[in-house]
Amino acid sequence: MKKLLFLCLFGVLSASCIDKDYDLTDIDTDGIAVGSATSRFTVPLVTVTVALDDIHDSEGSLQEMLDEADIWLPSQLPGGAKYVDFARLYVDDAYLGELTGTLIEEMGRSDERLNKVADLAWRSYKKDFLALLGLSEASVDKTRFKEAFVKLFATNAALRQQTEASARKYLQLLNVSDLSYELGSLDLGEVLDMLTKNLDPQGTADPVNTLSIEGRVESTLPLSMRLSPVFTPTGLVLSPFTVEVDATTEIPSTRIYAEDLRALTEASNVKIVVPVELQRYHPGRKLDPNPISIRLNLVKTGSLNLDI
Amino acid sequence: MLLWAAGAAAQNPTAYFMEGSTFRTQFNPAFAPLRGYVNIPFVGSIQAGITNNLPLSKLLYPRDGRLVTLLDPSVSADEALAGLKTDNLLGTEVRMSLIGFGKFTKNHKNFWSFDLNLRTNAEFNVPGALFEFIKRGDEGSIRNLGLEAEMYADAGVSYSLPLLGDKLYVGAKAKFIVGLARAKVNFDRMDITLHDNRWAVEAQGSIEANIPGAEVNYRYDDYGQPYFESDDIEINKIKPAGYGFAVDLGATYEILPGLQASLAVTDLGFINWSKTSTVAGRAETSIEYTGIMIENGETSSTPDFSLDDLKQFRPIEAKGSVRALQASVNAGLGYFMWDHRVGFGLLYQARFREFKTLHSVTGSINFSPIR
Repeated sequence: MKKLLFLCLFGVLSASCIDKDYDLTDIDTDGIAVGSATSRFTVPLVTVTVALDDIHDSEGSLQEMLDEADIWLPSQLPGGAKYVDFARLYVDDAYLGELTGTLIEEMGRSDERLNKVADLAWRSYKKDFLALLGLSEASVDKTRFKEAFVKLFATNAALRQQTEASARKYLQLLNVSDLSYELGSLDLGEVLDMLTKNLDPQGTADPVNTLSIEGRVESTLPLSMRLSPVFTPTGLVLSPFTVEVDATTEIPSTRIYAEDLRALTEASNVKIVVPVELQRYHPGRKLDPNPISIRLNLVKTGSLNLDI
Repeated sequence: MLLWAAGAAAQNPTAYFMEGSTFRTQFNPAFAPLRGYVNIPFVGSIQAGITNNLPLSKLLYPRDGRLVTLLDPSVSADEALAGLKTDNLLGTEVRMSLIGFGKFTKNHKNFWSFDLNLRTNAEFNVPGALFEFIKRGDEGSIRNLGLEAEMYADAGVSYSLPLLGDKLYVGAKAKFIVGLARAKVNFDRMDITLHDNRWAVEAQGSIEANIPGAEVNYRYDDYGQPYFESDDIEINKIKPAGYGFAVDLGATYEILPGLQASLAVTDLGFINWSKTSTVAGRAETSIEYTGIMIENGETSSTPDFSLDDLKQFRPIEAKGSVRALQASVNAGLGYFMWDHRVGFGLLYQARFREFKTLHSVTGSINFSPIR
């Protein structure tokens, strides 16, 4: 009986040591995640340092464009405005007329401005003015052209009209070409799987694991502009954003999905094309040689998948 | 089969106070079993154990009827990190008795035995900073991430005898050791940077392997410099990679009738690993991902970010090395009653591991209904 009691006690104690919650034959070691549901990882994607020469139109560089715009614009903008509003310039004839009218007035009282416009007219618009100045192309030189322009400007209404027309035409057509940069192949290495493996599918309510492209633009340009970057050939379009004058601008988030990023990494000739829409111009400022820096980041919310 | 099962279960330190167990001599050579024994070759005893400085409940978590590791996303950072230490050691020990026998002398007091064992020890030191990085996703400065494993055979003769009118038993075991293989990979430093303009891992580490007949299939980088990964080490011959010697020393003393104190140090010795079996390498790795940089219309080379680079080691001069075995100190206090059918015991163990010394205290209650 004593031995039986010992055996029973031993059995009870042995059984009490078994915790079925800790069945070591069934351990799931698949899921390794870096971070948690509240994590946010920011991965560098592309950094573009935009040189001044990269910004141009079909005629010339941005420097040349703005140098000429500064001549066609009055020193003091109408109504004490600080900037030229391109959106109005393109569609609002009264606004354009106000600008060019103020220029003509200034030319009437400022020899310096009159000389600058005469010089510009000689360089770029000579043919439009020769007849009005009573000159022929064969016999004219710069000195005679400018002397005639300055002398006749106050008294020759047709000359003033042509000057204003040239200013209007130039200002109305001010624009720049798309920026375009070759990225080549975008090899994210093992980061690709870390970012994409656990993404919530499109349409998930309150998604935790998301991927997006965000970033920032630092600009020292006296221009504000609206940019709409597109990755080619995949056609991935980022949300448009406005770069403010001489400021750092946050690029709004554009949510993307695993297939978007995979398409980018699988393409061998990725380009980023940035259509530029000019918005505002603060005349008379100097330009830096590298006025814009665009940094794009991949932002992953939720944990990173890690395969070891 | 029954013998094997009994042997496999015997690693529990509570065996220290099981007077009938032949495995007690592994803790203290002054212990003698109740009778002589013969271990059947290869199946007589296989002991496997896990040692760590964390409770199992800090490593494994029950989730929906299964166990997941603390790295699983379902385990929150706060839950996983609570209670983790600066250095977290996970270790395994396997001891396979190839042959063993022991016998009392004619006076039934002195006991001698001979054992031939195959032993494998492995340990993994995981710094708490690594778990912190994984669970929180923050930047990390990780120090001393290491893995060490060794395999050797020991052949030992032990002898124990009573003194002071049977109150004091002393024992010693002398062991000749043949080193079969050893490897240690350690990253002294691993700094992880997760800035929005730069992801980087900078690591400094080393590998040292003692493998008999080892040949390394080197790879070469763009500059013609050789490097290797652990997979590039091939074993071409089976032969000893080193030799050594160790002793176990122990004593027990009966303080009062039924109350016994015991103290032992085991595996006090070394293995001299030969130079010819040594492969050594050093890693100074820096991998970074900065994305694509475009300046002056020129695109920088496409960056590559591969964690595999962390496994690359540059060969360095191989040297023979004398390395201490992983010794243990075992100190026990046991009280036996009812003709030794019931015993209460308290065992303190200090195990000197490669990365850390582990201390443990085990309390046990033993019932021996049949003696």
